[in-house]
Amino acid sequence: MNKILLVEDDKFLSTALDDKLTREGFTVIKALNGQEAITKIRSQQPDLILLDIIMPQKNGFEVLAEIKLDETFKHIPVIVLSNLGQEADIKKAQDLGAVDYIVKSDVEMKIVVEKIKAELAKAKPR
Amino acid sequence: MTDIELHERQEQLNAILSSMAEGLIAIDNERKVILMNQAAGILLRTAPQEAAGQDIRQILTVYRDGQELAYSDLPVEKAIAERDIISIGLLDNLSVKAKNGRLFPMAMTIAPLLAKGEVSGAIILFRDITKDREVDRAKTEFVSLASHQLKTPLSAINWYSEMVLEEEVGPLNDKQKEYLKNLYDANRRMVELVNSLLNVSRIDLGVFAVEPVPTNFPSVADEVLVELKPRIELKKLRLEKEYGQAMPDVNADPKLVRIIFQNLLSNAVKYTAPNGVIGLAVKKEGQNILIRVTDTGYGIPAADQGKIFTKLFRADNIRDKEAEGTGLGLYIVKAVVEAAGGRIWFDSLEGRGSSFFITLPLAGMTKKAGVKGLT
Repeated sequence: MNKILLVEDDKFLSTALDDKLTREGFTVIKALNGQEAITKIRSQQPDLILLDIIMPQKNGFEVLAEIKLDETFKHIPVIVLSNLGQEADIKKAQDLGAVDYIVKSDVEMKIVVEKIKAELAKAKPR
Repeated sequence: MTDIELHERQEQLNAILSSMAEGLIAIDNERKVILMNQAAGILLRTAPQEAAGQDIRQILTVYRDGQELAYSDLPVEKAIAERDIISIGLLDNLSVKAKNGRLFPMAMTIAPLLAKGEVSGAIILFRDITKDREVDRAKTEFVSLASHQLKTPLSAINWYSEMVLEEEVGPLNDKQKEYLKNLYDANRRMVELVNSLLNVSRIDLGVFAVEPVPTNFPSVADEVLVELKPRIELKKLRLEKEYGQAMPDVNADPKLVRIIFQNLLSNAVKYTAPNGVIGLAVKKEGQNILIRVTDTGYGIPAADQGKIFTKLFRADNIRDKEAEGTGLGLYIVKAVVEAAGGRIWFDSLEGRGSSFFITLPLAGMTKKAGVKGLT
């Protein structure tokens, strides 16, 4: 079973995603801020990370940069899930190594699930 | 009146003029300054005595977006020619350069100077609106911030209603499904509204970016039409499409091109009664690319035609027919088209339909670095 680390500080969004992904058969680990995300990546070694950007204690960009600098974890695919929809934000996330970028308010949950599955399928043969 | 009385009267008038908080300049038919009050002197850093007799063009230099405005573009001539009072406000975005080089935003009222029924010059009344500008900016920034904050709860409503609607947590009866679908659709509209408000605030703050890449206009139009297909079919509208042959790719920001098609086409669909016809043409015309969107819809009442590009404006005849519009779409389109060096205009007859025309230079859009893109 694939393990997904869900980094999201909004409780409602976090619960929605947790429930949905659990029903889809994933094991979900939650982190409510950037610092907690780093700790959980180390202790849980997820297969994929869903990462919010605007969060207390270390934002998503900082978390992303830190993961990509770490030899042990830099292979883990990161999908950014944010309401920042600006070109510049998307480019920054891509430059930092995110595999996809989803604007929350514009996307249905089933699309989020599809994208997660697509990225996991790509990551599998490794 | 005795000489003393006359003198007192003169003193009184001088006192009134010099106590005014607004700058006042009177000019004669030769456009020479005949009078300038103290406030005008302070604002322009020019002594009133020194200004007297000088050409107004030397005294009052007006700027828009950092560019000096030609005197003929200033409404002074218009006020004189048409014997009309003309007001320039915050939204006209004009600034005046004082003699010391300081540029300040200003509001202005120009009235023809009438004596015995003849125009003998003009009176220009103006004031510094730096404070108004700051307040307006703060308001725009607030709208931007508030809109952004709204997105998180809107995403939550979206996602939870989607899961319930998909019956992931148990079956729904038909009524429950219908109500939930309405909730879901209303929330989607709210997301669109928030996106429009964000776009408007980016336009108003002058911070939106233009990122041109080779763009095929018909392909962008087709993408938008695919999204609109369900609504076109629901209303049984006939779509007439006409693309010019071998349309070249134009160096344009695809997001902005999309905003243009999205707004014009969804308006055509929204404001046309069932069984009507909507038309889309995209072709080359001289040095321009021409976009024409027509419909056989409700049309725009003659009285409203001057206002349809104004922010938040909605015509009288559609407000009761279509609850959905925000009055922001055409304002955004016009700003985008003009930022790209293009032009937008329309023909419309109430009850018969509307045609919107846009030309954009084939040479493409100029890159504009900005903090924010439109979405």
